[in-house]
Amino acid sequence: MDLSDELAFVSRPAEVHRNAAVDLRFLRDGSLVVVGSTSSARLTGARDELEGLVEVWSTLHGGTSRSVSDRLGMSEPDADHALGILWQAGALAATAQGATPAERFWLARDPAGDGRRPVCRVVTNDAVVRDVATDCLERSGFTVGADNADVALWLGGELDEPDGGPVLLASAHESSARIGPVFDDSPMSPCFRCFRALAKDLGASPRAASRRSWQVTVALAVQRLTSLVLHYQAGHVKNTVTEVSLAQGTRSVHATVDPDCRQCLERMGCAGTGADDEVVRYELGTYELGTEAGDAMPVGEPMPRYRPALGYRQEALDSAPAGTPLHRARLVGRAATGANPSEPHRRLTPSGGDLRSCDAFYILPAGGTGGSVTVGLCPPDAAAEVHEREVACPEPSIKGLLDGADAALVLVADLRRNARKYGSFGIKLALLETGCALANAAARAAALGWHVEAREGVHSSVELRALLGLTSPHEFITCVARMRTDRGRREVET
Amino acid sequence: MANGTVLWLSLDEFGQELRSLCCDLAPTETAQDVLVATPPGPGSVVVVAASWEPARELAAVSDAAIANDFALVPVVVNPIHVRVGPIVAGAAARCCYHCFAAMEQKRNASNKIGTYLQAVRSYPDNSVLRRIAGHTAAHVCLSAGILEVGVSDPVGHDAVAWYSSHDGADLRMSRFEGVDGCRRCGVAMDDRTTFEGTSWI
Repeated sequence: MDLSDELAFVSRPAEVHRNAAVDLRFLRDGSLVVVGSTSSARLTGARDELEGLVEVWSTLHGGTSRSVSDRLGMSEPDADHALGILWQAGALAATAQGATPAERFWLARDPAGDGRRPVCRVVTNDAVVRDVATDCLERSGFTVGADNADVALWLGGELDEPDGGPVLLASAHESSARIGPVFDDSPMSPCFRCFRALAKDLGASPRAASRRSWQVTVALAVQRLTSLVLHYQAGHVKNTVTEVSLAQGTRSVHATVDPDCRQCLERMGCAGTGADDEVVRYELGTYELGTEAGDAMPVGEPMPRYRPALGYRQEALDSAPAGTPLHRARLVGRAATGANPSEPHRRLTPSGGDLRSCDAFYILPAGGTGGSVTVGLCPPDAAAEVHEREVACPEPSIKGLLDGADAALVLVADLRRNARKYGSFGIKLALLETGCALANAAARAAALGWHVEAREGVHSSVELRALLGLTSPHEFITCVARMRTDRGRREVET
Repeated sequence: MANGTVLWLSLDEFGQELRSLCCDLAPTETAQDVLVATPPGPGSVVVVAASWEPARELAAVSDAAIANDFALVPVVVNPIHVRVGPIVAGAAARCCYHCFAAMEQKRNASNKIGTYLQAVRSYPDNSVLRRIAGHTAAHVCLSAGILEVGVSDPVGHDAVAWYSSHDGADLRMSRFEGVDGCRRCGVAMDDRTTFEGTSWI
């Protein structure tokens, strides 16, 4: 095959692949020169492939090559382009060698491969399904065998404890296919007990689906196995259960560990807090909850804690004399949720998706006898009022929180507001919102002569939740801060 | 179910493998010249399968499908993904292949993978680089499963394309529309076509 024209064409990467991190130059003497690479984390693994590709090319054509390792530091790293070019160059090398389409596919994506194809073990009870899987795997470049298997494919069969290697679960249904999750020994992977529970939920009898359904299912599973073997996006898809339907497209859920599995909780470092920690509970409960969290509360419905049953009453913002701790606490709380005193309808910082997932509470001594405290709640809207209630005889932990401080600020995120739209990603958005709220509060408090010091970690406790009136498991405390008079500022003022 | 014959235009090894796997559809092999010169009648389905983007061939068959009222179901293995569609359901099709290409080009311009794909498509017709991506049996099996749905009801899946990337186990479905600038598909959708008796396009 005469590749001279192609070589000239590919040697214009600047025009064809803008912002390419890797520039491959095919020279007319048959050599391949890699002119750039990147320090991007995503391409760190690809560098080995690049060098392997250069070796392949050099072996095929006997040309010269230059290593990429001394050419780091290109701007605009773009792993997608780089991998695309890698595939292209690898496939070109394979084409020149007269490879079959399947060999081209593998060499294009695994240019540094040593020619050994991965061994896959097929586990199923049904002979027809086994035939379909074996045929598809072998013609897709896998070797089907039980010994020294690199990966295993479980097709709706009885599940036994695997003896190593990642295991991909797949099942075919009448009009859909389910692929995933992957069971392996990685720290964040479900243990075999959790895996089996998931398989039971997903489980379908192999005979429930037609041969064509199994062909599609196995084809999708092989694509994911290829991805796992080649380590492309492996971490991304590992614990994902993908339900594929021709009519409705793809629906993916993240498979997590069983919330009751103590073994997994301990392995993930959640054993001590797993039962009580709202964040962990929510993370673990995402899969079980499904869409329930999103459907439980219609948009616009106020949270239960705003209802008078909890004893909160509405107070105008300026019902307390200016300059008193109560008035300051109200202003700081309102600022934390974003209210701008000069423009009440505008927030100081925008809320992600305008979902306003974060509420602010303030706690301060009520001033009367008996050690009662005033608990105030600032809703995340533009209303110029707060909700307050007095609670008598607080717990020692609350007294400790207020000891030496003028007031305490507690930020509470309601995960349902974000999870309704963003699923489990909503927790990250809620934490981001917490950071914005704390920054708003700190800025406003500084103007009022208060200093805000946030406590490390989340100090959620039954007493604090009871004090605030948090009743829903979806609202959790994301930040506890103490506010005290800024001594430095007071000295300057005096 | 399509009430006519299923004609098959296999442009490479991938097309041949797919055709052999879909033998229950009773596909009849044809050639592009024959297809354009003596097009099949209404109700027939033409499957064009290749492991590269046969833009010129698909454009020609798409025009013939709309003119002669037969359905077109392309199956393409790109360097990035497997694509079945967009289905052109004969004379009443919502969009032709030109509209699809324009829409996908616009879509691809905003993402990196798509930019790479457009770059591959921009290679000359006789370029080796357009036909080197390779394919495996998994791509053939997956295409066969999706193809059955498209061939069985091309009218119900008019202008629909399914995508499945090589590196995941996902399946994405897109429905395309005619674009402004296309004399056939854009004109019918746009009220601006008549302005004081003259056409904008």
